[in-house]
Amino acid sequence: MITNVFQYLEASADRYPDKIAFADSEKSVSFGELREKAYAIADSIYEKCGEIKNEPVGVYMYKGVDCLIAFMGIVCSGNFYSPIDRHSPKARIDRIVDTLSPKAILYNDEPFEGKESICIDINKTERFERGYRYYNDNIDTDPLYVLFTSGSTGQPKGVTISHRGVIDYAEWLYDTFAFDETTVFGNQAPFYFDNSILDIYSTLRNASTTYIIPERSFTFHKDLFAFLKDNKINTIFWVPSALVSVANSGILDREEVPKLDKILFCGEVMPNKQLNVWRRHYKDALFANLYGPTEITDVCTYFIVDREFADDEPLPIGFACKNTDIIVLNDKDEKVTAPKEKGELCVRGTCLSMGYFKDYEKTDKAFVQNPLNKFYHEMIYRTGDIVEYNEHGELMYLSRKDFQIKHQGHRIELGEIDTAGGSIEGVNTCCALYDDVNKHIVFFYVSDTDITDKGIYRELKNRVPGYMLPSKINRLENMPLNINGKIDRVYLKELMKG
Amino acid sequence: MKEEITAFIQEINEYEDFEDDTDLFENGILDSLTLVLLINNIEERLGVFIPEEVVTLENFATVNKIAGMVSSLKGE
Repeated sequence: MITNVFQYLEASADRYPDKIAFADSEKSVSFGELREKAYAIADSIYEKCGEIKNEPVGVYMYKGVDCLIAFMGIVCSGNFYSPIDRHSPKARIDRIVDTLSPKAILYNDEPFEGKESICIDINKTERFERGYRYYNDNIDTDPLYVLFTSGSTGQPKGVTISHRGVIDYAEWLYDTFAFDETTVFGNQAPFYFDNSILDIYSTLRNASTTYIIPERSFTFHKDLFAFLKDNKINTIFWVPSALVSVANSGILDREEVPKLDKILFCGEVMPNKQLNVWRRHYKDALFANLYGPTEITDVCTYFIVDREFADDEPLPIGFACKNTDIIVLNDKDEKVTAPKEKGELCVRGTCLSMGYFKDYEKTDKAFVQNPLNKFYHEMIYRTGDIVEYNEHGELMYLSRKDFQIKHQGHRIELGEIDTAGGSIEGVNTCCALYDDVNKHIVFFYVSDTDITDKGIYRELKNRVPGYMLPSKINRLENMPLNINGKIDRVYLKELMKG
Repeated sequence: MKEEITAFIQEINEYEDFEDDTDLFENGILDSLTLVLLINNIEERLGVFIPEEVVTLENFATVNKIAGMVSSLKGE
């Protein structure tokens, strides 16, 4: 009986101890080594922190094989992990660590400075033969990881996912895409982004291999192609922005293309214009559009691209994954089934997250009793995504319900940029908006000081990750307000159009 | 040449300050999306074709390096 993802690693390490599990451009780790290192880290956690169970442990590293070794060590110890992105600005990292209050923080070259916490260097761990496995008495509803996503108040939300959520997902992926020991993944997703869950746990479950593609290669496509070819990568699961950028660069027409059997994507809308460029070059490959927010363990619907689409047609998000149910609710909380009727996509199933870490209020807003069920306790997750069914009965994504946007594959609450902007000295009031036409963020502000647009940009760069930075900054005399005294976003949108 | 390259980057991102030897990628001034815009600008407005094989980090790391590469492509 599978109740813990560490059992996936144990089984693969028994079957293929010497096969490479994960590799980056500097090092690789086999399934056998990964298990040994995980045991040693679990021992070190026990040595330094005592007998702890179901406690948060942070991983403070740049992306690489060491992160995955750390994750497995934490899982083996019976606790749960949370990646702390070292590229994030210090203020954001501090807020995340503050919320997480980790019992320990694992690192590989530089210890985390700041909040008092036990720091463990994973290169200096020691194996003690304790003769038992710490995770043995965990149950499948115990947490596996916490991933922090953008929050509208500026406070990132920690989505908490259990073992059973990931096991449910990994089993569905195996059934649907038949990953096995010959599968070689080319990983693009950062580990703080849940698209990486597919690569990591499919590799562990099926004794596949994952190569971590250097981030730079997504800018320099010649390197990317060389990396895919050198490592014989045959399966990719990337954010659409990465596929779009490759298609637009023209490299697919100019060079001999790497051999790929399965091309999956998720995280934002994939435009058919660029998908058609890929499809022209990969006539025999399987293409699948996956959809889902972090709160339901990465993916809840999928569409295997099975027919021709015109460049300007939208691609369906398709159908619910097995063991997951999708309910589309209109604004009266009634179920929508007819084509072309809009509603909010809601999810029912084992995939549901355990909510936001230490934030019951936000959890209770997004995870609610199924309004169609009057008989017993049953949670659904309200995604805030507006969808409709098409004439084939396939789900089509339309838009967001609130101020959350998708930009370059990242989920961003515009409110987080507002909060960061508002904290700049000299800014009286501000508002970030998304320009859907030019696909960029526009930042409006009011100030009494002589701060410049450049100054604003510099300050924002210290406060938010690069993908949240505005492309346009506009200073206003006064912030327009609507009848309720709230910032008039409709008026600002008009201003944006010029 | 340096002035032209600097102007192109400044058009793409008008809020960044950088020198001729600032690492444009390390400092988040260029990324995969904006690099494509820069290459298009160089090709269209300077009339130089940039072949795939020269699109490397080494050649695009700084304004100095881009200018040097474009000059040599133009045969200057």
